[in-house]
Amino acid sequence: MTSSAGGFPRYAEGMGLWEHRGKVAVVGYGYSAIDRRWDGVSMDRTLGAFQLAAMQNAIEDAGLTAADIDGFMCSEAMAGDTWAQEDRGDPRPYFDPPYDSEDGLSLTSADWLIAGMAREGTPLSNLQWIDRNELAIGQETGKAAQAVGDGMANVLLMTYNMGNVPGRYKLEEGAYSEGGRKWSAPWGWMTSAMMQHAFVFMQYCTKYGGSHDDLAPFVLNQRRNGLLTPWGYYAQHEPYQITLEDYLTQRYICWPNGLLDSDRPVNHAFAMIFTTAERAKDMKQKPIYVLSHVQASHPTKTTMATLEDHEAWTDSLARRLYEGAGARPEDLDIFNPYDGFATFTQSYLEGFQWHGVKRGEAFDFYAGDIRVEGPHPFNSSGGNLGCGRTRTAMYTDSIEQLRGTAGDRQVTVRAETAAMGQVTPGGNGHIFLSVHPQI
Amino acid sequence: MEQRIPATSSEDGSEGATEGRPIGLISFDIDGTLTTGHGPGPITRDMVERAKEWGYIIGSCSDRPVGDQKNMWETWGIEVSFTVLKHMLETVKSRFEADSYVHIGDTDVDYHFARVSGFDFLQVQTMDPEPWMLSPEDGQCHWGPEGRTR
Repeated sequence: MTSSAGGFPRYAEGMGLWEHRGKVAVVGYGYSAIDRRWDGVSMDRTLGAFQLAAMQNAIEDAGLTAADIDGFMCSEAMAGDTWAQEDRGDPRPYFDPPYDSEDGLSLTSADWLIAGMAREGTPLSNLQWIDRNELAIGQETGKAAQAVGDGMANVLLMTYNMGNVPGRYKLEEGAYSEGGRKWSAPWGWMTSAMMQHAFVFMQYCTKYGGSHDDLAPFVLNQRRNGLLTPWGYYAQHEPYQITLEDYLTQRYICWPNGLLDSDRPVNHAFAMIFTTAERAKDMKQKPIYVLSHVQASHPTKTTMATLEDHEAWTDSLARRLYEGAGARPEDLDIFNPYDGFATFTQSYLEGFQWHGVKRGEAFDFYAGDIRVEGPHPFNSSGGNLGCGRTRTAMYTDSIEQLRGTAGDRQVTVRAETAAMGQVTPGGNGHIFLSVHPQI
Repeated sequence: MEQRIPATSSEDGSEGATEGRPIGLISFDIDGTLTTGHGPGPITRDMVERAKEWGYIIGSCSDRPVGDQKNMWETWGIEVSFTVLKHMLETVKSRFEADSYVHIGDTDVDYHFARVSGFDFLQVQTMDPEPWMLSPEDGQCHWGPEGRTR
């Protein structure tokens, strides 16, 4: 039942229009509640329970039943740390089934989710195609669209989660970093990721001028947009706006990357439903057509990427996504690039030339009016910085903006197309959506 | 140079049940330490209030923005002597004169900043209850409802 989507991944230059442009549509989405961490006690708020709820919510949003779903896609990657944390001694015990392993607590396998839907009385009883091979939602969304376009599934449920359990997040190295990792990740994986992007960001400031503090308007606006996203972590749990003083006095984690430049791990899940444009015509929701998708996976020459790399990679990404969609920068209305660290988002902004922003112009752009009610509503989702490390706010916002249901976040400029993706310039997947089957 | 505030529990020196007892300063982390945290920690409002009644200089040292820390204390109805960001803990020591300085928190980051700031560190998950944590009614330590599992 598991097979691959033929035209995936789409890495190459010069592929022209995507062969399924406008023939695949997003017709539903759903999300779970959100917590900072699973508390280790509430079995109705585990990562698995959240993901089942997100899947059910997506099905309901699309006006479907579970029996309508014939394709299923999930990421089986571990989002944060293990529940047991055996590498730190004194492993935490598991629970009664279905929580008698990591499955359902710190990751969710396709088998666990499918069994969970049956347990919940919403069995995915007609699955013909299952994919569990992609690690992150950026790649998942493109592959889901490709699978429907290729005819692997007619109604595909795609789901993704980001989890967090008590304890230090994503230590990954165990108690000690070993081998080459003791140089590149001496304090765990996250410090490695921050170092990479801090280095490129400093090259950016050197080349174009400016400093870390020039990110302040962007980061503050991300929080503002996040507070306008009712399901987001900060809107739900810490509903206060950060100030310029907060930003300028923040604690640095890996200079110049500070605490407020870094997304905050949360426990959350999300789901989307893709189908053919033909079927979408008569469904509950207005179809949001997929015009293109592309991916990127770039090896680095050394342990560190450079500014030159990031710029070349995001130039290529934007060029390919626009080409696949038959679009130009001026055709892109809603742009929700990734912001896991604030220090790299400008690579996407400038690569896509959104609202005419060219290389080296991001800081000036951030200093202008980027509010959702203004002329340049950049990253209207609030992203990870505004909603928590879900990696999905950019998708929910894009769909809502195109449906016209974004509420207080609804932009006042045209909202007929959207592009979004994640993760970093070196490895990511992006998708281009539109209310029209072609530009 | 800023003048150091003498060993009492309020910034203006008007409060403090010193009565010859050595004055201590306690800095509380919030998330994972106090019951108001995300996630909730084991130290309750009653405990903190009792520490203040006993004459300790108390306040918070957290990665939460200062404004949010102040809001939290206001919600709890407890007037504290300081609210600082985690990496600013050393400024507390320079501002307040005390016989002992303790930071209570739940993470390695708390341990790190306590150590570099000249504070003793008590890890909330494993510390022995301090006398001010004990209930005057039964002499027991009543941790918050989430316990000390985190």
